[in-house]
Amino acid sequence: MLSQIVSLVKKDFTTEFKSQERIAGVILYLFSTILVLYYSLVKVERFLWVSIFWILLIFLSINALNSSFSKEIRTRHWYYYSLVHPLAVYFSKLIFNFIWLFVLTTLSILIFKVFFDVPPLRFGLFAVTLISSTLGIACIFTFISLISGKSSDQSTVMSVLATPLIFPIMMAGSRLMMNAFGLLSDTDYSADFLSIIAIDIVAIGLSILLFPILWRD
Amino acid sequence: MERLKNLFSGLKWWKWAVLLIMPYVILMGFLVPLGQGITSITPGSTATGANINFRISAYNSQFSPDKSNTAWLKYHDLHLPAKLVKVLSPQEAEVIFDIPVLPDKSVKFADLSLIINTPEGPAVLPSAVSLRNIALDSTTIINEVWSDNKLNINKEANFNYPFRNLMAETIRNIYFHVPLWFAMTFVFMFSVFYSIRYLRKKDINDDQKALSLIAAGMLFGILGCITGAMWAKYTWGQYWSFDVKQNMAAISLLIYSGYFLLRKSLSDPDAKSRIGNIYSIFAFCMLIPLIFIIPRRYDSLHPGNGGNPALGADDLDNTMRTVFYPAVIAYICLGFWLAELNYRIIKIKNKIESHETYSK
Repeated sequence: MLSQIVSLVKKDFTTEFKSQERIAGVILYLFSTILVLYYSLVKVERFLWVSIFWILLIFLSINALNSSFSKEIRTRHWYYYSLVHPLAVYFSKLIFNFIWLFVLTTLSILIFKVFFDVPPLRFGLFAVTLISSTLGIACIFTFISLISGKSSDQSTVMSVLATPLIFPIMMAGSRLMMNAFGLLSDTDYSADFLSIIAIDIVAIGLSILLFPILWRD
Repeated sequence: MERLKNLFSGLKWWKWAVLLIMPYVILMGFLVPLGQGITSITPGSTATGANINFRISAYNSQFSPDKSNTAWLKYHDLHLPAKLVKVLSPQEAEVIFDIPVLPDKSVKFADLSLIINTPEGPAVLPSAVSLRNIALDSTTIINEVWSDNKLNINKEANFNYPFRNLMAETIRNIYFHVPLWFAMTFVFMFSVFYSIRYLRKKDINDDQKALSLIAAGMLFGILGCITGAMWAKYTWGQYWSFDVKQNMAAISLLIYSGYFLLRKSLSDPDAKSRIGNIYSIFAFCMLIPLIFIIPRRYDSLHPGNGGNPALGADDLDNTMRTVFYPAVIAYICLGFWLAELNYRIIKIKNKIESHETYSK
């Protein structure tokens, strides 16, 4: 199964990089949003940094992970279904989404660095928050994109279903990030961190249980 | 008469429970009066050494001059008896205190509570008076002392709800607002049970049961939000205070409205029920951190969060328990009843539809 996952992830990356208009679209979105933010906000304090970063992250994930299942033709799903284990498909999509979202967020942080230079006080906490929350977001989006891929109006359904679901991650994550920037007087972050990890585990576990049922169309 | 008999003959026990308990909850909720409480006191501050005359006005009280009324000022475990309680009218009285220095000299300012003890029972105003604790010169002599003996307080004579200054009459909302959320969580839990059963057995009835349970739960959630907003307007000042529990409730309603949107957007009936049920299981599990974990981490205006006491002896005394617990049971049963009616409507609609398609 591991080799199946690896080859599927590889395939996902090659198709993603082949269709350059998708990558260009996401990166253009990133640049133009940050430019708009820069012109409208000019000076960004730490508190504002965290809030605009999270808004950007949510819309970035909606934009980038929107069509992780629907970009392929329906009939190809049949082909995979006959070829590999459903969980291999799920994990390949999850890993692809996670890496892709993580790369994009790192990129956006680098652009943020250019425009609004606000270094975090605790870099380790900042990095761990970033990894755990992008993992959670990627997980929920992977699941929801498969669900919404079956519906007639998939982009609307996707954003409507996924946005409230990632809200708990966003709340705990933004609190952790404020902590990393030294904005909170209560510096104990274990509970927030544990709740993100718990949400990640629950989301992955549920997806493992439910994905094979959903996949069998 | 025969008709009436038919109407009630098929009712299950839990529907009888709704029919019996709901009127009880509504009648008890609205008709039982509040106990007596102190609404205001003037002056609101004083200093040690003063011989001071507090004028208090009370709510629902029956002060009368020919009964024995006593009063105390209370600071933590210490209390000071009043020299005299002078009754002006059933709702107004004057209390006279000679205030000695607090034993703990390091305390500069102290918040004192006022307790009035009448034959009908006690009334308390928390943080009624702020006291400036200053040393006295030798000319003022006060005979009273702060003591920590047990207070001799009369039992509550009437059956009534406790008076809380912040809530006053809105304390009755606890029978409507809180059970609605209990019932919503319960109904959603059962919908998950039916969703799982549908995915295992592919019985379309289970899917329709889950759908109707979720619809009933949504109705309860919306009503819970509305009753909560009304309560918040009175006690916190705004309909929506961006309290963490309010936000989480709104988000959980959004998550579940996604379920209906998803069902509407799928055209194939088989995919509709399958994907809908998968989403509802996923949504419920994501709801657990929203409702049970995250609100505990944040400061909230709700009782039980951010240093506020939970549903304890303060908010829910024994008289209120006699209505509150039956109310919770009644609302849960009512949720199932609503879901069952909805289920039957869906069944009939499907039957009519299939009949029409065949007759064409």
